[in-house]
Amino acid sequence: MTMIEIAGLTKLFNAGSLDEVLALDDVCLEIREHDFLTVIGTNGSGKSTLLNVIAGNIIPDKGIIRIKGKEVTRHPDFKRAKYIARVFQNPFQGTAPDMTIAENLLMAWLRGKHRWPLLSLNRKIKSFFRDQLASLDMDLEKRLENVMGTLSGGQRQAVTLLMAVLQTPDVLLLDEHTAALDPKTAAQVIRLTRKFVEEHHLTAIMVTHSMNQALELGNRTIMMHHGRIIDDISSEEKKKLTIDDFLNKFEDIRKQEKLTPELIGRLKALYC
Amino acid sequence: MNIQTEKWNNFLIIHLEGRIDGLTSTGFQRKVDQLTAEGHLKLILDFSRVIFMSSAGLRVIIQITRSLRPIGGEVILMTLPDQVRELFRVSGMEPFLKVVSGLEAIMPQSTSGPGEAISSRLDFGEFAVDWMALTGKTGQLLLLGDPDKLASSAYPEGDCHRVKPSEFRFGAGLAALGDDYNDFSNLFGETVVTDHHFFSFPAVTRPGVDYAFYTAEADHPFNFLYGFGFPGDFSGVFRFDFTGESPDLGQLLKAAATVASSSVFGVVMLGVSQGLQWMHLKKVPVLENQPPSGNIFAEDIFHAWMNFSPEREELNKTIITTGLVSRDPELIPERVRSFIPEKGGMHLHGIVFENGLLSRDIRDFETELARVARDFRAEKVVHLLPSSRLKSGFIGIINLDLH
Amino acid sequence: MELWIGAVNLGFLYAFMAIGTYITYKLYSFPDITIDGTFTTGAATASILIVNGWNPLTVLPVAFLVGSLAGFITGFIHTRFRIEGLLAGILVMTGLYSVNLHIMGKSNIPLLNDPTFVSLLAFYNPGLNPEFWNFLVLITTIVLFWMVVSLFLRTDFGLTMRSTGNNPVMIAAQGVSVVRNKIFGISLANGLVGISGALIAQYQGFADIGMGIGSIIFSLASVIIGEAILHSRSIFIQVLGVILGSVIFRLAVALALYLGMNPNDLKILTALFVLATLITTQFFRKKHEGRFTRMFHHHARIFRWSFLILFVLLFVFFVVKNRPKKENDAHRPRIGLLLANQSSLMTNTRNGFYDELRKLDYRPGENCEIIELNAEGDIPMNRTMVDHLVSAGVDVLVPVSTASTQAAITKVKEIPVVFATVANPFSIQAGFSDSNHLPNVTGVYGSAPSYELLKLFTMMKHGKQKIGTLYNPAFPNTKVNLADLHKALKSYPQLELSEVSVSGTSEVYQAAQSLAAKGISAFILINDLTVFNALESVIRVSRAQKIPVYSNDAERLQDGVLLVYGYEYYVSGMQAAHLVDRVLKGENPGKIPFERFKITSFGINYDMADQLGVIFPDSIRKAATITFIHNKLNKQPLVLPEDREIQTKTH
Repeated sequence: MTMIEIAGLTKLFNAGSLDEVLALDDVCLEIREHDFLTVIGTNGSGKSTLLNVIAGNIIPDKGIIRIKGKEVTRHPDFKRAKYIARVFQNPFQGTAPDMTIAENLLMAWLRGKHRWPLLSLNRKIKSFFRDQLASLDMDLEKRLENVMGTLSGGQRQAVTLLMAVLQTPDVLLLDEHTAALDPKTAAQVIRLTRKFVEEHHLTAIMVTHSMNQALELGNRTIMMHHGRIIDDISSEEKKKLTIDDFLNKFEDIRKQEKLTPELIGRLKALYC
Repeated sequence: MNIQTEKWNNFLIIHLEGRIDGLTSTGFQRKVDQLTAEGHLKLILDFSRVIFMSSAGLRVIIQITRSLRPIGGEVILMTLPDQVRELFRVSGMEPFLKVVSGLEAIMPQSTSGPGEAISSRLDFGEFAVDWMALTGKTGQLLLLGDPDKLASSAYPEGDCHRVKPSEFRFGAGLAALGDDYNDFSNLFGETVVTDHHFFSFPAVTRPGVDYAFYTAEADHPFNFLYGFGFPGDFSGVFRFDFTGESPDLGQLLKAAATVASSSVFGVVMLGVSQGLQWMHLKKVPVLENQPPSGNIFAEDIFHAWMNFSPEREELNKTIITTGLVSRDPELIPERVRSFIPEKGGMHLHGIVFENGLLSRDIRDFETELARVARDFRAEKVVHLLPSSRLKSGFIGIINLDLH
Repeated sequence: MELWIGAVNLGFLYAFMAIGTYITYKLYSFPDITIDGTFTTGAATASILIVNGWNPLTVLPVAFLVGSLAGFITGFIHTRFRIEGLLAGILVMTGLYSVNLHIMGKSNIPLLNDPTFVSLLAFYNPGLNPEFWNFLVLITTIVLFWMVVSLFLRTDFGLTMRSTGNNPVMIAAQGVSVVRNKIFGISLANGLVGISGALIAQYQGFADIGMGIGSIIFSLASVIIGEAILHSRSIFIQVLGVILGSVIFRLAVALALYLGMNPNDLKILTALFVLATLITTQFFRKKHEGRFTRMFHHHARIFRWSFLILFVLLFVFFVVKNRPKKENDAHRPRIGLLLANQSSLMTNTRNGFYDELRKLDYRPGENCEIIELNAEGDIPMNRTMVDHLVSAGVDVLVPVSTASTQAAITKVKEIPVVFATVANPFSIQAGFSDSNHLPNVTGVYGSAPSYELLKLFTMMKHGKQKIGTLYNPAFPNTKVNLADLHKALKSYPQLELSEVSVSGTSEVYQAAQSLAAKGISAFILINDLTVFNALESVIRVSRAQKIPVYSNDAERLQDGVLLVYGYEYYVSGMQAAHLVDRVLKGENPGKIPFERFKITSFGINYDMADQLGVIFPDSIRKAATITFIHNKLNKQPLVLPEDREIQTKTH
C-alpha cells in the first residue's frame, strides 16, 4: 500500500534574488507502507527541504503530497502530526527543556489528539512511561520527574525518538537525528532507531549525512542532488554497494556538472 | 629528540640526540622520509648522543633500511650506546644492520653523484635532464586493431586480437585477459604492457586493476580491441628531478623528441607524479553496448561512458607509462595516424601505483621498472593527458620502424 | 494598620493581572504590553455595567471576556501577521485607549453609590474591621484561584500551553497549532487582567481612563519578585510566588509612600528593579565563566533568601521607626493635603491655602501640622495616599482636584474631608446639592463661567461670528466645562461654535490651526488641562493669524491671551482654608454647604491688543481687575468678601 505519494514537487527559495535556490526540482517519489527510506545528498541538495515539505513546515510552490491517499499539500505541520512523528537534528528541538520527561512524554502521547483540561498525567500513565523509558536502556526510567534540560544530547534524542513512536505514527521522519551527537551516542540512537522501526513496523524516512547509515539502515536509499532524486536504490542493490560507490556517484555528478560541449570536444581530441 | 644533518662524502650523517621512543619516533620517521625523498639515499645514523631508544625507534630503523636497500641506498648505524646495541641484539635484527664504531670504518665510495660519469646534462631552457645514451636498435612497431571504432563503440567480436605477451615488451591499448570472448567481452579497459607484464583496468562500474605477470612457460594471450607494442631496445634514457613546478608531459616529451630519430617513437616512463590528468572508459566500446546515437562522446551520454579528472589529481604516486609520441604531426605515417590522438601528438597509458621510493641512479632504470611492476600495488590504469606532470623519474626512448 | 492590610488586599486584586503576565511572560516569553489597556478595559466595562444596574460579581465574567477579546486581537496580530510581540501589544494598547473612552463615555466613572463587591462584602460583614474582613474573603478567593490556575496548568491543556512556550517546534510536531495556542494563552492572560481591572475599579470606587498605565511593568515586577523568593520547578509554587510577588510589590509601594518617597521616583525604581532582574536572569542563563559569577550562581538560593530577609527587616525597621506618634501631638491639629499633580492649578490652590491658613493664625510646625502628598498624576496612587494620610492620623483631609477628592470620599467616612479646585462635586457623587451632601465632606467648587466670557466677547465683536474651541475630552472637568459652554451658547444665537478635540499636548498646535482655517474670529478656551499646558501653541496661531484668544483661565493672561474671565485657583485654596478652620473648630462638615468660588478675575492684555490691532471699549477697560501692559501685570490683591467686610468694618 502506498503511504506517501509525492508528485512534481517544486520549491524555489529566495525567488528572484541573487541567492535563488531551487531546493526541490520536480521531485516524484512513492513510499510504500513499511518502507524505511534513507535519503543522502550533498549539502543543499534539498534532502532536508523534502523532509520539511512532507512534514508541512515548508509549503511547496508546485506539486502534490498525499499521505495515505489523502492530499495534505497545503496542510500546516500540526495538522499532519496525526500521521507524522518527527525527530530533529538538533536534540534541543525535539523536547521542551523546562518540562519533565513525563510531561514531554505526555505531550507525545497526545500527538494528534485533542487536549482537554484533564489531569491525564496520573500514576497509571507514569508507570507506562517508565516501562517505555526502560526500553531505551539509558537508566532514564528513574528520572521521570527530572526536567528535560538536565539530560545529555544523546539522552534527549533517545527520548525524542521514544516520543515519536509512543503513538505509533504512520510515518516517522528522522532529520539527520544523529548529526549533532558524538559517535558513541550516535550509534546508540541508531540502534534504537532500528529497534523501534522494526518493532512497530514503521514507515520511516531518514535524512542522513552518513553514507554508512544510509547503507546500513532501511530497505531503500535515495540520493539527492540539486533538488532532484538522482538515484533510487532498492534493498537488493544496497546489499552490493559500498560507501565508495556512493562517493563515486557524487564524484561523478560533480564531474558531470563541469562538462561542457567544449570540454567534451577537447577530451575527445586528446583521447582518440 | 633533536636531529642534525651533515654531508660527508656521498653520505649524509644524521646526528640523533636524546630519546627515540614512541613519542619521538614518528618525528624521526618523518624527517628521514623527507631526506630520502630529497634524494639522500646513503645515510649514516650517528647514535653517539642518543640516551635511550625503544622498539618504536627500532621499527623506524628497520623500515628505513628495508626501503633504501632495493634502490641503491644504504643505512649505517654509528657509535651505538650499549642500550641500543642490546636492543638490536635482543630483537635479532643485528645481522641485517651495518654497524660501525666511527667514520673511519666507512670506506667512502667515489664522491661523484649517481650516474654522473656515464650521463650528460641536457638543457632545454625551462628545465634540464640527465641523458644516458644507449645502443638500442630501432624496433618494429606492432599495431593491433583499429582505434577509430572506439568513438562509435563499434567493435564486433571479430575485432578482438589475441597477442602473446612474448611478442612485445612494452605496449598499450584497450585489452582484457581471458580465453572466452563471452567471458571477457565486458572487461576490456585501458591497458599497459610493461616488460611483457599486463595491467588493465576493466571498464566496469567498480573497476580494479587486473594484471598478469609474464612467464615464458605460461604465455597466456592478451585480447586487444586495439593496441600497439614495441620491443625494449632503448636508444637512451632521460632522468629528471625537478624542484618546484615540473614541466608537463607535453613539454617533457617534446624534449625527448629531440633525441629520438623516428618520426613516431616509443616511450616508457617511470616516475613520481605531481598531478595527473587522465581519462578512462566506464563502459566497454563493443557493438553490444553501442548507443543509439553511435557516438559515445555525445553530450548526454559522455559522463556515462567516460571518467576523467577535471583537474590534476594523484600526487606522489609511482607511475609506469608506455606510449607512442610523434615528433611532428605532419610526419606521422598513415597506418599509425589513427593510433595518435588528434591533439597532443601522443598516446600514453599509465599505471598508477601506490607511492614509494625510487632509485635516482640513471643506470637503475630497467631494474626499477621491473621492481615497481612486481612489488608495488597498482591502483588504476588510465589514458594520460599531456598536461599531467611527473616531478622525478626516467624516460626510456625507443626508436621505431613504423612500416 | 489599615494601610498595610489595604496594600495586601490590593496585592490580591492585582494578582489576577500578575498571573496574566506570568502566562504571557514566563510561559510564552512574551511581555504583553496590551494589559496596560486591558486593565482599564476591564475596569471600564465593569463600571459601566454596574452603573447600569448589573450585579458587581456578574460583571467579572464580562470583564474577562472583554479582556480576552483584546488579548485575542494582540495574539492574532502577533501570530498571523508576524508582528513583533511588543509592537502588537503597543498597537492594541493604543487602540484600546479610544475603545475604553467609548465604553465609559467619559474619562471617569464613579461607583461611590453603586453596589460593588466591597459593599456586597460589607453587607455580609459579621462585625469585623472592614479591611480585615475584605482581607479574609480575598485571601480565601485567592487561595482558590491559586489552586485552580495551578491545576489548570497541570492538565493536558495547561501542559500543552507550557510546552508551546517552551518549545514551539516540538509542540507543533505533536500536532498542536502554535498560533492558536498562543492566541488562546494571550487571550486568557488578558481576560485575567480584565478581571483584575474590574475588581480594582470596584475596590477603589471608580474607573479612570488612565488607571492602567504602567500595569505591565508593575506586574512584571510582581512576577519577578515571586520568582526571586520562591524559586521552584513546581507549578504550584511558581503561581504562589507570583501571587506573593504581587502582594509584596504593593506592600513595597505602601512602604515607599509611608516613608515619604516621591511616587515619581517609585516608578523609576520599579523600572530599574525590573531591568536589573531581567539583566541578571539573562546573566544567569548564559552561565558565564569567572569566579564571582560562579560563586553567585552557586549560592543563588542563599542570595535570594538574604534578599528577602533584608527586605523584611528593612520593612519592619521602617514601620516601627516611622510609626506616627499620635498621642504626643494630640493637641496640635493635623491637616492632610493631597494634590493630584504638579500643575499650577494645584500649586496655586496650595499657595492660597497656606497663605490664608497663616492669616487665620495656623503656623505649620508650631501650632498645627500639614502633611502634604502629591500623587504626581498617577490616579490609582491617590487611593494609597489617602490610606497613608488616614493612618498618619490627620484630623482633616484636604484633597485638591477631582481625582484626589474622588479617592478621599470613597475611602474616608469618619474623618472630615474639605475638597478644593473641583469643577463639579456632584459628578463624583459627593452630594446632590450644595447643602445635601456626604456627612463628612465639604469643599470649594466651581467651573469657569462660560456665559460671562461669551458676553465679553460679544461686547468686543458684534454681529454674526464664528468662534472656535479645543479641549481634551479625557478630563472629567473638561466635560463639565464644555457642557457649560454649550448651555451658554444658547443665549447667543449669533455665535457659531467649531470644536476640535485633542488627546495630548502635541496635537494642540494642529488643532488650533485647523480651527483658524475654518475662519473663526476668536478662540474661546474653556478650562482644560491639556490645552492649558499647551497654551503656547494656541498663542502662536493666534499671533500669526491675528485671531484673539479668550480664556476662562485667569492665570495665563500674561502669556498672550487677549482677555480672561474666570477663577484663580488661589482663591479656591483660600476658601478651603476657611472651611478647614471651621471644621477644626468643631463645626460639622455635613452642615457646611459646598461653596462656589467667591472671586472672579477679569483681565485684559493691552500688549496683545496692540499686536492684534484690537481696541478695548471703555466699559471693558473699567471693569478689568487685572491688566497686562508694557510687559507688566497689574493686579489687585485677592481678598475674600467676608475679609473685605471685616476690613471695611475696622476702617
